[in-house]
Amino acid sequence: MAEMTVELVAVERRLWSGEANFVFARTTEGEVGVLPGHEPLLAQLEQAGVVRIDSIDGTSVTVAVHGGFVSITPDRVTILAEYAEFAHEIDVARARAALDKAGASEGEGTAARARAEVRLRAAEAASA
Amino acid sequence: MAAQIRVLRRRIRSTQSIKKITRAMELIATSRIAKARARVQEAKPYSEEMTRVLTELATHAALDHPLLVERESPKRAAVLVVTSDRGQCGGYNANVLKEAEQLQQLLREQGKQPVLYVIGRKGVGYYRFRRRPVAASWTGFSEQPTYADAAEAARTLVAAFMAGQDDENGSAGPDGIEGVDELHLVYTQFKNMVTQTPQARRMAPMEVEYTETEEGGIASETATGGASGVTDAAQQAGQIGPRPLYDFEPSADVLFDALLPKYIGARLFAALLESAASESANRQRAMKAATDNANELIRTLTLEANQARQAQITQEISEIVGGADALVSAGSEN
Repeated sequence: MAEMTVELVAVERRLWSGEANFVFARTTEGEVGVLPGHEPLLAQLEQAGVVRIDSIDGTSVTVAVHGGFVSITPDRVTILAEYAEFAHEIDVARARAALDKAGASEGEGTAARARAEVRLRAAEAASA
Repeated sequence: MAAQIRVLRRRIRSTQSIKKITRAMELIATSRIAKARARVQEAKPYSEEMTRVLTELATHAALDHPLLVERESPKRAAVLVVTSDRGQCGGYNANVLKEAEQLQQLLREQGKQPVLYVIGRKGVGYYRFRRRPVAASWTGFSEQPTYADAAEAARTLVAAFMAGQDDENGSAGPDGIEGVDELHLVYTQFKNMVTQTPQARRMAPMEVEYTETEEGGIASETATGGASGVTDAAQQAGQIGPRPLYDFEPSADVLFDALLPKYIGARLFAALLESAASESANRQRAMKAATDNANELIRTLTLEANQARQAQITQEISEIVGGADALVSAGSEN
């Protein structure tokens, strides 16, 4: 079996669902690359991280995920996110502005900075 | 007489412009119901997947998380009331607030002190007018709530709930914050376009939900529905055969800690969406009634104005005829 069902759901909408043959994500413990037939795993994703899904039709989607979890079974991967955005939908200029604005402040700013950073990283990963 | 017609015409004009407004509000509300219902649908996959994940976790993690465990002698209970920001929506707010009063009454009878949290300007106004203290309130998003709004309220509530863990009889306990021992939610359930009912639910500890008994009172009974995916899940897990053995990163307990508050947030978000749909449905109905009433009023006023106009014409004619007669009779005498 060389494919698995991948669901990427955010609280407000289902972003992506379909067959894929590779998923890359970063959990709090480290990076995971998921191929079909992976061991069952439940993991918390990084507070703000980039997830890449390689679909079976050869395309690949990159998504910025905030506050997510991933649930993996041999034939199914589910990514639960509080917020998620497709890399190609990210407004790079705005993310950069947000990053500059957040850079100076502490506390609240740290979360905003992380959000802006992951957006930029996702956008870069998609364009590369 | 002329004054009366003028007054009637003025009333017709103002009724017509009110009608335009209510008609516009009705149309807006109609489109918002559809949108809100679509959002309820879009939010479903997340809560379903969340429940599935918690199912897995519940079988592995110890079920002694504070959010799941019933506290001994609960003293304070948070009540979150979801109201609207604007009026013009019929009995929507009155119904929710009435349900909230009933719940508070019930809590008081059980020896718990209700602590109010309010969403929506109408609820805030209601309690401020009665000089009842409100622990926290959030306004400005009742018609189109976002997850960020729900998450913020959920964070405050969960924090208060966690702070309540170490409270001792009436005092704040070691952490110096007076928390709560239970979380209750009062919102409006969207059943269909014509039925929306206010609902009182317990969010934490997650075990019991309130259901309306046939006598109309509130009774508590153990949940079998969606109120607690976790306990359901635990039961299901016992029935369904072998499950895959999961690895957890980080450990199951840590994951559980991280997931449960999110689960509460997601449930609160779902409640906000349903309330928004209900609000729009109520507004649509109220504005439809208002538009119909305006039409009726315009009809009767137009009738009255026409009668007055005819009466005026009749009077003028009889005055002219009378005047002419007087002239004729005066001329014949000469």
